[in-house]
Amino acid sequence: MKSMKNIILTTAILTSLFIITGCEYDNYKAPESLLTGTVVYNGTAVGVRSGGCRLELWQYGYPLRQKIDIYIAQDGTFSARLFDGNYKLVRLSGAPWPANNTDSISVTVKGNTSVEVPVVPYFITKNETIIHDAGVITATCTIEKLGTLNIQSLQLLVGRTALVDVNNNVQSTTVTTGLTDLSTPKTITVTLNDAMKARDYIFARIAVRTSGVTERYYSPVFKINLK
Amino acid sequence: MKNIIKLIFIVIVLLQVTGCGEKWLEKPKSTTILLPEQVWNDKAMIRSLLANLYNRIPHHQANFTGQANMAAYDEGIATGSQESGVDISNNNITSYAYNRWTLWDYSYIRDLNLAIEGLNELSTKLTAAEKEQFTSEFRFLRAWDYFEMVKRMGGVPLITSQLIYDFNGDPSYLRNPRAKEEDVYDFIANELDEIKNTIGNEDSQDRANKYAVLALKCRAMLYAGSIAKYNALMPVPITLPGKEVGITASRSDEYYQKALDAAREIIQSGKYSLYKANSDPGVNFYELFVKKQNNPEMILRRDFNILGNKKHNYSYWMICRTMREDNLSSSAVNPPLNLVEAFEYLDGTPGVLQGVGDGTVAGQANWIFYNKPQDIFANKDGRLYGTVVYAGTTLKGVDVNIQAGVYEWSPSLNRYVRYESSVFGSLHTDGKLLTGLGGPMRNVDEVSNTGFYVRKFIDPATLSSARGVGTDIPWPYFRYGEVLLNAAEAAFELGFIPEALTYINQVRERAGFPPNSLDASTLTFNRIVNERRVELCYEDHRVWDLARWRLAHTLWNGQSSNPNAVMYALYPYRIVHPGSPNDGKYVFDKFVAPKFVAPRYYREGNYYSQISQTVLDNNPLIVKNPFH
Repeated sequence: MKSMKNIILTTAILTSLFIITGCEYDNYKAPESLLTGTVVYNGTAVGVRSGGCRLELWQYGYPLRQKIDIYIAQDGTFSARLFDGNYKLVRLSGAPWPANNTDSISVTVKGNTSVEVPVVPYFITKNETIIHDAGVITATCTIEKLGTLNIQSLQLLVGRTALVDVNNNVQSTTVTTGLTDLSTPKTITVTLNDAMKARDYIFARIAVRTSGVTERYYSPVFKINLK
Repeated sequence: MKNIIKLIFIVIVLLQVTGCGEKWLEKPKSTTILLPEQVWNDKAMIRSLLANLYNRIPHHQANFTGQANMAAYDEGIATGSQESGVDISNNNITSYAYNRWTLWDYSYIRDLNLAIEGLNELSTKLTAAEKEQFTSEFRFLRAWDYFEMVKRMGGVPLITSQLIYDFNGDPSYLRNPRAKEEDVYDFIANELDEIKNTIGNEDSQDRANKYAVLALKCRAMLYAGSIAKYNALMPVPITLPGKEVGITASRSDEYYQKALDAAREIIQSGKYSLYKANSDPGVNFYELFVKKQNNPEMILRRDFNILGNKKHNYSYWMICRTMREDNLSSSAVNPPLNLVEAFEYLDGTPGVLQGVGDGTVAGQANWIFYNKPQDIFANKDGRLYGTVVYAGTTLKGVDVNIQAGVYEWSPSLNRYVRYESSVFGSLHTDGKLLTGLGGPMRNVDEVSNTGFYVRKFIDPATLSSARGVGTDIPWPYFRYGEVLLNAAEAAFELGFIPEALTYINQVRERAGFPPNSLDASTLTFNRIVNERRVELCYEDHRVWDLARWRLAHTLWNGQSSNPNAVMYALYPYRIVHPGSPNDGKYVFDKFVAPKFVAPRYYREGNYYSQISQTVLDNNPLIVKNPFH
């Protein structure tokens, strides 16, 4: 009976030893460095659909080559919590700009790091104004063509929250004609319905869709006070 | 302590001594491991292997698996049934993921190649005819799997023999690039042509025969033809420089002709016909899927058998809440109003329901007061009844009892006031029904959210919707109705309008339309699109059809202003208005289904699915699909 007790005691001591030592070895520290950045054209942030466009982040030197997907926020910014190290940032297609798979961007992450990712969208908008008059939202902008593809449509999207895109909107207007001559400013309107008119403020945004490309280029979001 | 150590020592020694005594490695015949020579010389074993291979054909939407995909497009929404795996997230797919349909099924292809080679190299006891038949069946399944891959991925590597590593230290010779999309379709056509006369199984509906081979060829060639035609008509066609995706536009007629020829061969054989055993078109269309014996329409199906314990739980998940026989589940997938309105009126007019409000006070002006709830669906295509459970009908002999609430007249407000309840079978203050045993309810799980339930494939047998019993309704892979529609579409695209009309009008006549309901002036491409939508609903066609016609990205464009991308509900209400002729009548309100969140969003990048990063890492010869 005495030896039995000893065995139990020994087992208990051994087990607790294992647990204590085990904890020290099988855990990595969580990544602490923050990589932040913006997708820009000519120094101006490029607006996209929330959750719609990605960048890929790769790190050399590890046997398991799985990329890190980084989703771009609607104002063109992105961020990722990473370990320090050297990374490659890849611009993918499925975005309002052409893919650039051959030319990745080297990023050295050491502590909190900031990076600008230059892209050339198919189209951009300039000099955007969005105003409200008597229940009608009117947007004006100049469209500039930067690629070879054709324009498919110009849209004005109106929503209740600051998150506005083709998925998140309450009312929208789509124009597909009169877009051949891009030298003149374009105007597009949305007539607010009663529910929207009753609000204190709304958010609006212009989107340009390129023919054959799903993701649109978006202007910055405008907050419009109705009262 | 010492004793214990001693004991352990003795046991170890004993184990080693006895272990060595028997010659484990030289045991003459294993009963659990079968050698290739044994398998390929025994017909019973080959058949059992074949059964396994038939079971591994990929499914996206079927009655025994993948029901969630019935709630992911415009055929249904999910209601939040706990048990079915039809997750409520199907109502909130912001955009379809690029890898949603990814299929890289090479373990199955390998097993088929292994079977073809094993049978031909090692089999000595089977006759040449038996070997040829089995080989034909393996090749049929392989062609079918390549079709399942090419419709999702575009061109994939064509592997037709086992890839065996010779351990020379460099496995790169095993890498194969993607074939052109059209090459994969040509491979499928050639394979099927070669085996159609040797596959046998003449009268089987459960193993492939010549007509199943032709039906697969017909479907595959129709896909190839329409991709060739409609991809080229896009403003920016989806292609890759090596033509891994995108089919040469000029080949569309060639593919349509092959599809038509295959369909004609089935039709002219006279071996199959449309199921017409019941004189009521609606009930007949329902029976088509649940009657197993003497069903002349089924060319190839996956059968189940309750007595053999080969069964599934489709009825448990899908059954209308009113007559569920289990204490859980039911109502997993609800057909939206969009689908119900796709069924035309029998006079050929579009199926939009008449006299429907929108839930607002102003909308009450639109109401038509119907005597009975089913009256709003009167004179519709019979397939509506066979596919969808709607108010005023019965299922398994029980009234479905679908009523959302009542509208009671308020003299002071001078309008009707709405009352709804979340209690099943609750009564209004007048002592009559408020909310039915079958809902619909706006925010309760396991009850209809749209006002409709699924009827297609529901087993009429007692207790079939209880988990312990289950259902053995078969799954139709290929049926004559689809062949007729394939033939009609191919003939239409080739300009053979009278021929197209004979095929499509047969299908419509079975659904209750008068003979020759379409003529050369009314048969349009959109008519064919809609005909396939209503005839082949829930049969794993809709999403693939819209993809090959390149319609999916415009129809489901993710915009809440697009009525095709948003799923609607239709709630029936009883009128309480004593003293008025409208008292006791029924009205209907249409609105976005309360549980539906994100409009359907299919992007150009969805036409060809994403190839996984592991595949790209392992084989640098594989090129990515566009937009990924």
